[in-house]
Amino acid sequence: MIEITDQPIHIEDQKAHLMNAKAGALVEFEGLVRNHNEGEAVSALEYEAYEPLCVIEGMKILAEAREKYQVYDVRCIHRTGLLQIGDLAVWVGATAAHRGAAFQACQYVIDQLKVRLPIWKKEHYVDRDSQWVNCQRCAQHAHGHSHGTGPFSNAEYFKSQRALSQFSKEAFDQLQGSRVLVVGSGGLGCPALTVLATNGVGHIGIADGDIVELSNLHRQNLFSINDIGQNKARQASLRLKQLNPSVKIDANEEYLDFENVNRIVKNYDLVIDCTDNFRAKYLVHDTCFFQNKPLIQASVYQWEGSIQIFADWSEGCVRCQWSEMPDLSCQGSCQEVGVMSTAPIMLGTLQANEAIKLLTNSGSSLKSRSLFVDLLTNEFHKIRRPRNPQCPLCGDVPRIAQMSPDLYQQSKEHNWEIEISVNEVSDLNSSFVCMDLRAESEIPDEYRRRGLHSFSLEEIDVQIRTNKKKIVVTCAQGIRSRRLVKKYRDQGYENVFSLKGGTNLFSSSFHNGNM
Amino acid sequence: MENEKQVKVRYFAVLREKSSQSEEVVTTAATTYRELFVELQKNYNFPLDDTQIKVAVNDAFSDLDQAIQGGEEIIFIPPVAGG
Repeated sequence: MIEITDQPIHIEDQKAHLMNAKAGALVEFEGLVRNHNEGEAVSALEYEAYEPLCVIEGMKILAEAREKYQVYDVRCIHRTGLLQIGDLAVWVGATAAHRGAAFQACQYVIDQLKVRLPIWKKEHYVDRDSQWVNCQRCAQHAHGHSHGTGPFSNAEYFKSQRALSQFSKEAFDQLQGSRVLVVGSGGLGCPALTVLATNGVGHIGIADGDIVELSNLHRQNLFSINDIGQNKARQASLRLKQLNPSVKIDANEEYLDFENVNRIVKNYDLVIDCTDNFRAKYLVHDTCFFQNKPLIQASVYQWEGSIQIFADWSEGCVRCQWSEMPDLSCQGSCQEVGVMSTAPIMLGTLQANEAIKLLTNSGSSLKSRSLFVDLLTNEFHKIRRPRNPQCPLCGDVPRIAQMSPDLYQQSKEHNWEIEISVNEVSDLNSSFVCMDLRAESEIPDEYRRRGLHSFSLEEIDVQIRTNKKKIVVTCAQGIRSRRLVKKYRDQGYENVFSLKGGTNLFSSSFHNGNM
Repeated sequence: MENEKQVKVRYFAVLREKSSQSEEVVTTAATTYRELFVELQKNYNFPLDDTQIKVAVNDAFSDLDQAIQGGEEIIFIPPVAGG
């Protein structure tokens, strides 16, 4: 018996119909309204059913269950209308002489109901407008929707992959049981996530606080025009669920930082770093080192990229070669330096490929080597990364015994003022270099006597790039110097300042620093 | 000159961009990889100095202060973070 009702379901009444003195087992399934779906907060659900067909199809399903399994009876009831969180939406019960048949029949009925009954679900979200979801077989009915899907079959989905002779059933099962975190769902993250989700990794985490922009779409192929302005982790998870509904996805809609990185990374077996900045790369790298998690890291630049794998941390780490986080000025984002979409798509795909190999112990991995790829010349270079006994992290006498926030500070975050006042300059004592933009003849004698001299733009450039001291640039009014300093700040140089008001505001207390 | 050596140098990322080539054969009097880099930095106006790059010699990371042998393939590697 199947019932469709717009009234609350009374389980005791349903059970009373099933009771049978011969039954040694009663198995019940209760489907409840939950407060989230695919990463979104849900406040309520609305069910709509095409009742005549529900009953016909439902009766068929129950008959199939009775025929397949040794049950005495099996029945179900499904709600329609507006339901709140925690409400009972569907109930299935089966009685049998033994529990096995009752469990199997119960599961068969609910699984088939989900894909075969013409029932539509409208989700009411906390954060946005409601939408119809999970419409099964709608296209067959005069309902106005046409986005129905057939029943999902894992065996059918992975048919071609399973035909692969180098990829065993055991390997596939290992992937299905694996949990992989992808940090950053941009240029590298989109292809990496696509490969992971469509090749059988069972559980994927995404961490990204960024939003989709138009300039991302040429390479970040999980997103469409409709996603602009939305969080990347969330939109990526929705798209991946469409590509493979069976994959479990956690969308962490936040950047990893010192506060959350340990908590998030510990939930996964392997981490893929698809970030675009050194701060995040070093943070994720060190976390994986201390948690002893395999890490697959990649970076791209224009037509080039590199990928490295840290599976066995006793074989070395990033800090063996790059002991300190490189300067921000070395960074160059994709938007600044430009990127050909093939580079992140290829490198992100390689990252996921290496992850699949590591998780299933297939092939030979890139262990202890970095692969450098130049797509303009088709040069691929595998470069050996020897462990460095002097490494501050994994060396014989490590300096970094634990993570601390200052290890991941980048000077850009200080957001220092471009201009510095005469009084502030005095406070610097001699730990700065003062350079005047003007020609020597333009600098008044009294300032020259105090040590202020003319420097060419080339000389100032060299000092800014190489001198560890603060550089104070001056001119008469502080306008030209401010323009010059702004240019260097935009490139990430934080050690350079413009003297506010120029030398016209010099106080007698001012002395030039030590050159 | 007698003390000059010939090496093959490959450039990546910003170094390729600035030198406008992926590789070249260089004849140099420099004795270490660091000296060679400083020489090239001046030629091509590289925006990175020798403290900011790494060197790989014959496909293995090496030390900038190692002596140039002659005939080896040298790759100067800048840090790259794009994603």
